[in-house]
Amino acid sequence: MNAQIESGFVAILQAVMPSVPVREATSSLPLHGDIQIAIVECPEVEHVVGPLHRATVSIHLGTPAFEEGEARHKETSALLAAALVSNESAQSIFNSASGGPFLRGFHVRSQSEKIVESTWRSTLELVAGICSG
Amino acid sequence: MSIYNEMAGDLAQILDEFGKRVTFEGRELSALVSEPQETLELGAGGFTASGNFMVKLLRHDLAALPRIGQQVTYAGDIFSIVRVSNRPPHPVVTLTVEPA
Repeated sequence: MNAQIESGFVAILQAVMPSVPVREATSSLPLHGDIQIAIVECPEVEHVVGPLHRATVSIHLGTPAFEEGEARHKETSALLAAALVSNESAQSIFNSASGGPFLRGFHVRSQSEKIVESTWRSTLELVAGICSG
Repeated sequence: MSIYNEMAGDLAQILDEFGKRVTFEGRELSALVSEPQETLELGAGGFTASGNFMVKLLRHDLAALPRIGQQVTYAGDIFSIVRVSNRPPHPVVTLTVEPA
């Protein structure tokens, strides 16, 4: 289920920031350090009751400091934050893309800004309610 | 003739004989290239190439001093400059590059 949740959130982000590559964390594609990219990671899905699950999802936006710069990072971070304001539109995109499991809601639990290896890095951590059937 | 001019002349001959072609800022230059070593590491989002090597250029072949973040093409691959060593009047500019 983790991979399907990653794919659903990738679809949400692609819809709001089409110019930024977005990728699942479980990927074996080459990752280039000189382009801005968003990565969706779902390391944990917990069963709650019946078909309901609670998923932890991290969204990492990385912008190479020398190639793209701080202004571009701030602009894309704002787009990313805006993408996660409306549960309704995000649910609709997620559910159309995955065809099940279904997103029932989510909230942003934490956000951080760091510089890692000459890259601006924004991370949003979400808790998502998922229904498996 | 100063020692630096002599060094520049000698290095130009070495580059003529053993230099590798690199492209920087749209210009093809002759350079001494150390043995490239590359590793791949799997992380979130896919495989990242890492590792670096050095590219030595004659200063008077350069229109301007390279800057960190600019790119160099060698053997069809693109590399980013992560370190610039420039010690005038020494005639060599040494770049440390890694996979872009």
